[in-house]
Amino acid sequence: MLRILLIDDEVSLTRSMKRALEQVEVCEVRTANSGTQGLASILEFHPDIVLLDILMPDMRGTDVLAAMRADPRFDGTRVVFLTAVPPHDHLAPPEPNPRRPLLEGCPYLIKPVTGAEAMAEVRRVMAA
Amino acid sequence: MSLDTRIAQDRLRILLLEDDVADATLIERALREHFKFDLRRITSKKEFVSAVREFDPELILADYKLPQMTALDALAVLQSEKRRIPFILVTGSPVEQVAVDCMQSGADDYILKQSLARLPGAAQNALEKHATLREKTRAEDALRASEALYRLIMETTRDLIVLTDREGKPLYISPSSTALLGFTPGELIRNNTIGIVHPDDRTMAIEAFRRSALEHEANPLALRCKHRNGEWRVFEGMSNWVFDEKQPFRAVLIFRDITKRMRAEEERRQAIAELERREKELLLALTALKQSHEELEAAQLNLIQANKMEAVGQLAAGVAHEVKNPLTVLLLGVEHLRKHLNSDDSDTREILVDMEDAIRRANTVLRGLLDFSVPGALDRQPTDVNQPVERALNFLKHEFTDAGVSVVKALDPSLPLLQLDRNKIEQAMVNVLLNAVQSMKSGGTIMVHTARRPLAELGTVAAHRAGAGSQREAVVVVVEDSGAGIPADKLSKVFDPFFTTKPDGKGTGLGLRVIQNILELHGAKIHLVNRPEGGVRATIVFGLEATS
Repeated sequence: MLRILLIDDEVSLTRSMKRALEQVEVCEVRTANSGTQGLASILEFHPDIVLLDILMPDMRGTDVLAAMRADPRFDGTRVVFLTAVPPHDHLAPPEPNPRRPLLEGCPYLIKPVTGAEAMAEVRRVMAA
Repeated sequence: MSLDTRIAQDRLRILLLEDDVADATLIERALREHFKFDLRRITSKKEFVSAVREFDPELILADYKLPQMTALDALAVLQSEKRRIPFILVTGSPVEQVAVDCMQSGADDYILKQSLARLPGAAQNALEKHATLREKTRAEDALRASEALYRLIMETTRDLIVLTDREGKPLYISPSSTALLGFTPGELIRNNTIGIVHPDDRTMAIEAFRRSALEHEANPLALRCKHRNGEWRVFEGMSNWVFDEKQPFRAVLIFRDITKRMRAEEERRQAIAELERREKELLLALTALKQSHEELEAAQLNLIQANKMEAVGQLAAGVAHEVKNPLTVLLLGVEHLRKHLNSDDSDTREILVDMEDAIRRANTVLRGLLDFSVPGALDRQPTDVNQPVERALNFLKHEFTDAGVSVVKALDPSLPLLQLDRNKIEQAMVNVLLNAVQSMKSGGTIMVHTARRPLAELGTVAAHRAGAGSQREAVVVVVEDSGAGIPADKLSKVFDPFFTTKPDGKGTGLGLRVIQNILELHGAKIHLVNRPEGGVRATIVFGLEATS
């Protein structure tokens, strides 16, 4: 079963998104509401993919990604950013676009997204 | 007036010294046939003196010995009175010594009473002799007077007067030469006069002298002469010719020292030139001041604009972050509700559709705000504008494919480098290209070309916008689409914030404003026109400083 970890500092968002993803298809979704908590969850939960917010109080999503890349224990865990304001290129078309350029080597989703849109991106990344 | 006519017209005044009445009658008779006259006879010295003064005789006839005086007494009176009047001694006794004494004392002739027939001839001779003498004296006086006048003129004139022969050899030079040149007239005449003329002026001076002889005209000329003390003096000279039988004979050259005048004129010219130069400098300074004032104003406006943009950007980023999470929660909620809705509850379904639409529209506004904001400081680097253009094209290649739009590029490979913030220009280019794509509902062609052009070729509006005058050339980026174009009545509003021709929710009306903001921060301009063949031509003009 597909294991997804949601890392976002806003609890209502992780809760809604977890429910939405699980309704799109059968999967196991866990949530973390800070960067540090998220890194700990990855080591414990071993998700296939992480949906990672960027602007969080304790550490930025990009810092979480950097920590993951620096540690071989995180190898093989895929990351999709989930962000309100993507740095550099906020000109990207608003709709999720599979051919959108990468952010720190990772695809990204721009809030707001539906569960269906988020799951479509997850599937695409997993298939790649 | 000749003597004859005067005698014929006027009566000759004759003073006769004779105490013998008979003799007097004889003398009168001897003259009567030859002269018309008034005769006064006197016998004493006292009478003689008053007659000389009052009667003013023109001829005096005198017996030698009268009871109270002699002819010598009469001559002495004339001498003391400084009168020269024809005086003939008419005497009865031929005493040789008396005659000699009288002649030596000023008598003109002497006649013996025995030969009075000689008297008219002697009188005539004496009258003529005195008339001639008077003429001569008068001429001599006049000559003396005029010589004195000329001498006065020559000696007091400050001009240099030179009399020369026809070859220009000086015959006379006025004494003023000493004061004017430090050489006496004699020194100048003895030495080579032309030697004091400036070597560069000699030929001209000689030419002018010769020409003046031929043309019979006085031609003024200026020449430099060297003073004995080594200083150069400037003279203005003029030659006046004296002709002999129509041939030039003598020349009178008059020179005036105009050194001071020339110096004053030169100083005046320099003062005027200096004034003009300062005026020009002032005007230039004023122009520069105006320009820097304008630049300062523009920079200030840019700064204000940049500050505003930065503030809006920070605000927008903050708002976006804070609002987008709730929007996501709402969107996910709407999604959830739609999934779990009773299939026949069409009102609720419609409400949920509207809600999702509202969420997405709110999101679009947030994105617009983010676009609108441009971080303040530009990161300028020497950049080939083709680079951000290529990057923008590459960034949007999937958009082009999806919209069925083909892109034709004609990028000038040898453009001068511009000081650009690559990311910002790329952002502007993406916006321009997105506008083009979105105006082509059913596909078409986007033509992108870059070039270096003289500003004058770009049309008055573009040239004006780029600041014609200070910049003569420009790098242009032209984007042409084959889309719907901009309605003519909307063309003037396209840069207004929140103005859009796109359907509700599809555009924020900020895209062109974003482009304009970015370009203005770079001192560049964008110019939009509808193409005659359809679609829009966007021309972006980066002015090149004329010096670069």
